Amino acid sequence: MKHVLTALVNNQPGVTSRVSGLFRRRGYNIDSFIGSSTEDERFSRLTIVVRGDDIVIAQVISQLEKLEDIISIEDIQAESMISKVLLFMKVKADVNDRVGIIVVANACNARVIEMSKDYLILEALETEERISEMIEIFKPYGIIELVKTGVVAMKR
Amino acid sequence: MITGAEAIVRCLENEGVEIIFGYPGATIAPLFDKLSKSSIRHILVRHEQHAGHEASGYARIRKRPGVCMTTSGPGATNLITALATAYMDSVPLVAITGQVSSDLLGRDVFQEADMTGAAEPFTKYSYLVKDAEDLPRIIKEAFHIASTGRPGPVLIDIPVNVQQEKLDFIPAGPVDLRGYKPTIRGHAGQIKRVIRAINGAERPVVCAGGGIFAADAQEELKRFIETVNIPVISTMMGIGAVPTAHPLYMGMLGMHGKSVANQALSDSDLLIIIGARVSDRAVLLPANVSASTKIVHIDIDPAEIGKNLSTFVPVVGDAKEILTQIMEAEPAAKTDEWVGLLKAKREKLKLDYAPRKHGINPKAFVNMLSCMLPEDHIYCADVGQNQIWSAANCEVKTGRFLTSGGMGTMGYSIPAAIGAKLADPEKTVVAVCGDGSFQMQMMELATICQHDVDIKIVVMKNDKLGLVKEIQKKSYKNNEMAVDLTGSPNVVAIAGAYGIPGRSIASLDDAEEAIAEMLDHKGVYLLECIVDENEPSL
Repeated sequence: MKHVLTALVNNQPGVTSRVSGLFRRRGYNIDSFIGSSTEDERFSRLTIVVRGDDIVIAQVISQLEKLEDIISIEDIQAESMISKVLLFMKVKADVNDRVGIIVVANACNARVIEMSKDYLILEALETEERISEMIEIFKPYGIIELVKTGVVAMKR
Repeated sequence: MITGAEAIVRCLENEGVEIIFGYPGATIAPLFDKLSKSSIRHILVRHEQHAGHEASGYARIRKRPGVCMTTSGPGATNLITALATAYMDSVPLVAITGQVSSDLLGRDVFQEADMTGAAEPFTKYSYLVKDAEDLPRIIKEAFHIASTGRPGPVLIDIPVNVQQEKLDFIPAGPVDLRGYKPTIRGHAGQIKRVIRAINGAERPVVCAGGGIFAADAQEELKRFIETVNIPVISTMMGIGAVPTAHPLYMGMLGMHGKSVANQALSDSDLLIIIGARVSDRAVLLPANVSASTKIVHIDIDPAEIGKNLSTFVPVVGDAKEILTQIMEAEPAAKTDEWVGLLKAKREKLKLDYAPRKHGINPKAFVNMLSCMLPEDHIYCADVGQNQIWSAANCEVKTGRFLTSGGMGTMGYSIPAAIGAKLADPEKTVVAVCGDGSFQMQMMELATICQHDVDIKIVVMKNDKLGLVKEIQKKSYKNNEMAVDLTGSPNVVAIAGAYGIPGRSIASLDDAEEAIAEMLDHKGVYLLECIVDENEPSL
């Protein structure tokens, strides 16, 4: 079961390493890990997606709360959050495929942000599930390169 | 089907491991059980830290990774100082530690320590084995990583259940690590630039580091400096890269080095650094190197180049290979005047070997000792004043000078000497330490006796932590704090308690005869030298 944890932490060197080190040490599995600055320069926001049953997640949270650098941490429930993933994808697109790919991209709510004679670069901002589906849809065309962020999430 | 433990033993045998230095415990018990049936010799140490140091001494002489093995928790954490020591001096080690059962990892169970995490800054690479099937590949990779490129310690942390797990043993194929391909051969364009720099130089100097030994490039270095007629200085790790009596050798540089070596460095117009980090101990301030000095830096580790000194020509690769490439291009420089100047300075260096009123003169003593030892002896110096006395006054000919240069780990010399002796039993091996460092390693006297290791031990006794005392004298208004070793035992009596013969001398007059007695004795021997507490390191 996936859980999205959102943590407000001190904005200092070494904090990311302490948090990720704790996951490694305790053997918790990280799905994704995003850190960014906030409106208050003293703090950063970490969004961590972690897998595990309720007991494991409760342990993760208790262990993280013990770290001095963590100001607050919360497990946000799916129904009460908005969450998105950003995707860039370079897809093979010769003359014959190009139009088809653009039509599919539009249907998927993805934008073409660069075009060359051999490929297109698509950009999409969607939920994690939609992004996964989209990757499957484009596989038959040939994905040259792909990069996506982890989940960023906020409580409603 | 065999167990993980049997697979580990088989892999170690395939890697040609002859000796393992170790200490048992619950989570490494399956491996010890299977090791008993192997031809690999196990040396039981008396403290895990020394298992690492012994493996280090062994590796440096045997020129292959030393292997040490301990249990989880405290057994593993005790090893960390040795890993850090080996890491700083680029010594190839494979450290195997037991770990609690993998299903219990992260639960703080008995003797659980996050060893891969704790050792991370001190290892070249580390593995936490989750599946016994991975063992053949991991062990092969570990030996490859430890011994290639810039050598270093590799840790393999193996949960006890993985050692018990059954697997179909399939030997690992060739190592293929995508992100790890050390550069061996120097870039042809850079070699050309090196040649141009040498040919245009009037006052070139070579600074040899421990990388010369790692690359086994002593012969190539000698041929290079003799052909071009370039003076050489060395870091502490580079002592012996050329024989200390070589006419072109100007001594160790740095804080505790020879004035002529430091002058060679500051007056040079071309500095060729080979396999050295040029740390703060070697070059006090990078500013000491003149801004007009061109720097050629040859190192197998690209991250070392330009780290402490800005470099004019960086060359990444193996020192032996690159020196051969340089020689093929037939470099030539007009250096007669420069070499003559430095040689004259060297001749004028005053050696302070006069007898002392109280105790022996340690500088004269270590010089006498190294001259009385066979030419190919292995000299292990500890850390403290004794290290400075040894580094500055030892004659190294065809043998080796082993010390903890980077980390400065007290208690290195005796275990390193044990490892070195086991690596090459034909050589005479001597460990020289102070009375402070002796007490950090004296438990290894039992290891020596149990395994009948014939090393010679010299303890410089001044009842003080001399080097710290000097710092307190110089920088803290002589405020001596925590440097008095009152309460220390009679070290000859301690040796006697282990059945080790020994004697104590307090005058240089007795030194020659005492050294002869020690060297003539078959088997381990301890010689104590009384030194005045105010004897300076320089």
